[in-house]
Amino acid sequence: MTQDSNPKKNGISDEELQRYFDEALPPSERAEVEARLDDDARLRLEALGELRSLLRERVAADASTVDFSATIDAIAKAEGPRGATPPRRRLLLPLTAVGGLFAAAMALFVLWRPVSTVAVSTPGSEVQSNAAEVETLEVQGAVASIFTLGDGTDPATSATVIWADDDDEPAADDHDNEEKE
Amino acid sequence: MGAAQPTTKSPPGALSAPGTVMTEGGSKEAVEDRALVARAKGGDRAAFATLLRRYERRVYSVANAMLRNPDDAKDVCQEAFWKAHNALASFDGDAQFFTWMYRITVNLSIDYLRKRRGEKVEFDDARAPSENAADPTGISPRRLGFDPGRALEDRELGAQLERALSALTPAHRAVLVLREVEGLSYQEMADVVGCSIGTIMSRLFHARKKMQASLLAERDPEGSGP
Repeated sequence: MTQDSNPKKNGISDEELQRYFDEALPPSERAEVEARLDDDARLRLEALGELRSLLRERVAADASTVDFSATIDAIAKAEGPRGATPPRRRLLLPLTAVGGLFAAAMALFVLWRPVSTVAVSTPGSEVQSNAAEVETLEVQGAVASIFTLGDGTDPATSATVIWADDDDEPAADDHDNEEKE
Repeated sequence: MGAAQPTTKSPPGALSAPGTVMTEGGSKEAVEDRALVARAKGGDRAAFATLLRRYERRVYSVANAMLRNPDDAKDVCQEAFWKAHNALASFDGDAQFFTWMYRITVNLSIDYLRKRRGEKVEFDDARAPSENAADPTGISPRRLGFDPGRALEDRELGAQLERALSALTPAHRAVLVLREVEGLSYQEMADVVGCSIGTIMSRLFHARKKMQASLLAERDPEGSGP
């Protein structure tokens, strides 16, 4: 409502009157408007009330014959609301998502982890540290690691080791200092 | 009537009991609605059907007010019921179900008017300048003088009312019905229509004033004023 279209009439503006009529005024303001009600304001309120009664009767009559039983019955027989999920499934969904994210992170870690340095020790000799390239493959849950020991150019000083894990133990950690011959 | 006109409060009960004064927000119906919504969200189909039956006539009244065509209003209502069914999971259970249902209905009615009838529907004050133009007239103190007990039997009055309603914009008809018939508060109407309370008050004021002017002109062509 604009002020321009809302001239004061005997001290009570249309905006005030409308809010009073719609019971949208706080109690203090309501009492204040009530105290200022004059004949003109009362007539305007009566006219508003008359319009309200008329509309209610008309709209109620228009709606009295509508019947959506067929639609409502069809909805009731349809699959449960598409968005609604059973409580158990609602619990599993976030867990599945977290599990999936964890698995993806682990796969990325395994595939992209950097070249490792493996310390190799020989029984009876002092532990020496050699540079070694380690490749790890995972196929259907089985993990295999391929080690190239030495510089790979001299067969006498180089060796390739394929280490297959045949149990549930995780693949050799990058920083393991286990002896592998 | 007395100065303090009784009004319905949410949830509206005017269609079943015109003039019923409801308590704000905490009515028995609102509590039942919340329980039904919770059950429906858990997959209880009967609970959802109960909710729809509870509001079918009110939803129809809003759609018919906007569309002024019973068949179109029925189509929109059916679409609204299915839409509510499909979107129930996204409904915030703390909100009022009927407000959500009315919002779906109003939006579908707007879409219907735009797509199928090619009507321009403005709910934005900035795009409806004529509504805010300076207008020296206000709410009329003149009564129509019909007999409330016989208003429905008065076919001439019914036709006049129909013409007066049809002369309003869909936006005006919507707020008029939401307030006068359904008894929504300004805030609830703003939520349903998606605009500010100020806009709602403005629309309501102009809708009432135009209805009064149209009906007075019909009743008394000689001496009616706005």
